[in-house]
Amino acid sequence: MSNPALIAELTPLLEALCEDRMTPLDAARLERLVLDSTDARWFYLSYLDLHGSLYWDAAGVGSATALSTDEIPVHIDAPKVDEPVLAPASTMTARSRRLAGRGAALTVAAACLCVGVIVWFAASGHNQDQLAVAPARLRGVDSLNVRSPEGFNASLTETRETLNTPVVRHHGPAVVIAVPPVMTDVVDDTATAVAATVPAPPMSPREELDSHQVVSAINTEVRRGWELSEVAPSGVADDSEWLRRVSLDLIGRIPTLNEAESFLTNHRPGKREELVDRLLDDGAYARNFTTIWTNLLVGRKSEPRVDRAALQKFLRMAFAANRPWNQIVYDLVSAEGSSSENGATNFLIAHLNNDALPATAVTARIFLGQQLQCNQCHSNPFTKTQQTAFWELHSFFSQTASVPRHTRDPRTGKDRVTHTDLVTRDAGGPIYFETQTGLMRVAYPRFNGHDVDAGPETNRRAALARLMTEGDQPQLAATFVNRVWSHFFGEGFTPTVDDIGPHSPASHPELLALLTRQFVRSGYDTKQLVRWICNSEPYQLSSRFGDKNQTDDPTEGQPPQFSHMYVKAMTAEQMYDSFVVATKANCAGGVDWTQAEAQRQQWLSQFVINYETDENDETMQFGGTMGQALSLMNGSLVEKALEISPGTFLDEVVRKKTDEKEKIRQLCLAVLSRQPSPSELAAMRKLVRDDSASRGSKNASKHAAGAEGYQDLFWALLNSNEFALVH
Amino acid sequence: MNDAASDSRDEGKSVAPGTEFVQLFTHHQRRLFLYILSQVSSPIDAEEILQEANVVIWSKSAQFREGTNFLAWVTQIANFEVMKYRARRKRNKLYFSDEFLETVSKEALERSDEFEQRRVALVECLAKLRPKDRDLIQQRYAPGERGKRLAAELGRPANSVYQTLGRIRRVLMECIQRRVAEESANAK
Repeated sequence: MSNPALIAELTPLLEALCEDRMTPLDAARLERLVLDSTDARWFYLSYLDLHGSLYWDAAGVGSATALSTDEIPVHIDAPKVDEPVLAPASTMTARSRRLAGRGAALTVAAACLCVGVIVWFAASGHNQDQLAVAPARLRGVDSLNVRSPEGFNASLTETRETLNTPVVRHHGPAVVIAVPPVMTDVVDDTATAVAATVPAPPMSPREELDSHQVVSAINTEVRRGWELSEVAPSGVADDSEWLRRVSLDLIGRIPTLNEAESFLTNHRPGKREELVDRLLDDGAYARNFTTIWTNLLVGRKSEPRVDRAALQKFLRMAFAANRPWNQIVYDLVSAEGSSSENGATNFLIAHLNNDALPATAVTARIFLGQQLQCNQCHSNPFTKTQQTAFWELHSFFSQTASVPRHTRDPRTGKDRVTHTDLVTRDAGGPIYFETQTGLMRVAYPRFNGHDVDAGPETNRRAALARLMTEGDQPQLAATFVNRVWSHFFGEGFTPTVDDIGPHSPASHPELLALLTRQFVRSGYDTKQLVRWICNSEPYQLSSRFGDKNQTDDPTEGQPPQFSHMYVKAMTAEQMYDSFVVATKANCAGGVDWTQAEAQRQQWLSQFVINYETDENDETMQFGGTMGQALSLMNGSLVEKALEISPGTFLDEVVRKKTDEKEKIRQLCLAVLSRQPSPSELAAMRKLVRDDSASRGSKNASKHAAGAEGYQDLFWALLNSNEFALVH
Repeated sequence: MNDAASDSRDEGKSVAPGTEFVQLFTHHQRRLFLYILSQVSSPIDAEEILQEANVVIWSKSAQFREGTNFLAWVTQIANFEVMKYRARRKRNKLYFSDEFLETVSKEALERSDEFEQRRVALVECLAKLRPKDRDLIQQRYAPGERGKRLAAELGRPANSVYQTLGRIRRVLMECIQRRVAEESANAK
């Protein structure tokens, strides 16, 4: 398409066409042009393709908050999965979402699809018993078994030859002592090398399960736990509780009033599964998982070199396109180049301080569920991992460096850092470390029993990334599965979510093994894993204790049985975004997106203290109570939220020509996603009237409350524990 | 995949379409929508037609031969629905002739692969827009928005809003064009 004159003539015609303001004369001209030339035809098609794509994708943001505006729901190249995929999901549900948002009835096609969904989901929800899955086979699944890894002692023999040019990497003594024939600090022969703690039982093809079988297998395993621990599950959560939970878990905020109303008035079977699909397609899902993983990967307050926005963009694209988890990890571990152009580089840029020790500890912990940080200084008697394990892994990062790049500012004439490059240097050889007894030892790049050539021409990080992510990687998969499970249930299978291994018995080892295997089989399909979890029986349960599960309380130190939903405190991000959704505070006075996001970041940053240790850990000073949140919240934002000024939700409700009951109902639904009970409603009505009267509201009377009354009620609801918790 | 389970499903009297069909169906929803849009130019109308076509596609799922061109099959059904829509709208203005639609439809099918590239490019181009422009585009394409109310909501003269939207779409078109050209240059 290279004819500028033609484009110049076509463009205004097409602009008019898209805005439905074309004259018949224009139309005739456009038709002539398009019929006459292939170029014009293609330009016409491209332009309408853009028009339609904007409508289909960009508009589908769906969430009512301006905060979502940077989310461009991406559906690039959803990975082709060979297994039968559950998803009649993506586009269809994107559409359903939009229709629902518009308040239109769902069409017959959606209903038809629903029938399909019901067939698939026959296993989930309430009728697992009818499903023709052979439970015996599921029970036959191997549990996580632990093999003694072979060959981890090899490094000892290498030691002697390679001490000729030692470089002391880490607070070492000046004196280098030759390695004695017997190593005193080796724990024993069953010590475990990195990433060998969850060796995979080999996967046989016959164990490939389809989605409803996986869901059913989860249910079977969890139920078996109930029987063994003699608890009975709580009842199923009502729609309000479940909708609020799934919204917070999947898209990081409470449902809007519209979303709550349309879900609660929807009585079709299978609506929960549909909603899960719809939310997974929402740009806000990618945004929420991006928030979670950004915090995990670089912390909430990362060092200044980290280009947080670029990392977020990398993650957002990855989650939106549902890229396989092993590929994402590969990119993060092997990333090279500019912090602003390749967002994935920022993970390691954040952890190269202290001789890149945090890079090693964090990589092992986040991706492999291994707490190696103690192994930096000593072998660990509890996990039976050797000190060598840490340093062998660390050796993979020895070529890595970050280089700040400057440009001269033409106005001030001063150098300014524009970005940071993550580079790999041509360095070879082992690294050196010191044992507790003061011996110097060496470590070569070695991972999970695989030695990597230590020459300068090897890119060690690329090699590590391959070893960690290629093919069946049960340790990588189990760590991710455990973390995602714990995201949804508030408890993982292990007491510490990123500490997996024989020293840390899982509450449901068979289930963890099964999910791990299926996750690998699915091609590390994150959305599929989320669907399995969200459609499982335990995820449907109420957060209230039942009569027979009082003992199922992990805070009392019991292994979780998932017989009811464990209550989670909202994260600061969830709190902020939910607050904004409930109040539309950000709409008051037309704050633009950039300002809104800056406010959000500023607000969030108040809670974080970075300890700058070797593990770069930080504390989130956020207890999840609304009082704390509100007191810290940007003053003007809260003020706006409670203002009765055009744009805010409170203003909308107060002005609407609806009666008192309806106004109260709407406030309640917006904040708590549920209807008030009759007694609550009565109490609230009283509060609203008394308040208006005592505050001398102009319009208040015995029979009608004034705006101030609603203001106080709204404030009270936002302050409730029910708002501040995910239940 | 449990064979027994899938067999019983296929034989079930509800004639629920097979997994492959559902996958094809969902995979092509977007493409089909865009195809219809190229014939009717209004996204909202295109969405309605798509829904009607979906009902037919779903009910005729048994007639689809696996391994044949799914897109070609569903666009035939869509063509029919577009015709019905045009018949209904006869009294209102119709922009284009049947000949026009045929020509455009043929071209769209022949070059359907190229749209995929453009779609990836669009995502990147949207991210590059100035926040203000991105906001406006999002408001314009918000659910249910036909564009006419937008000016009133923004309190700006309609013409100036249309002009801005036109400009943003031009920027996007050019950006996509560049990206696609770069991509194909890189591929060589």
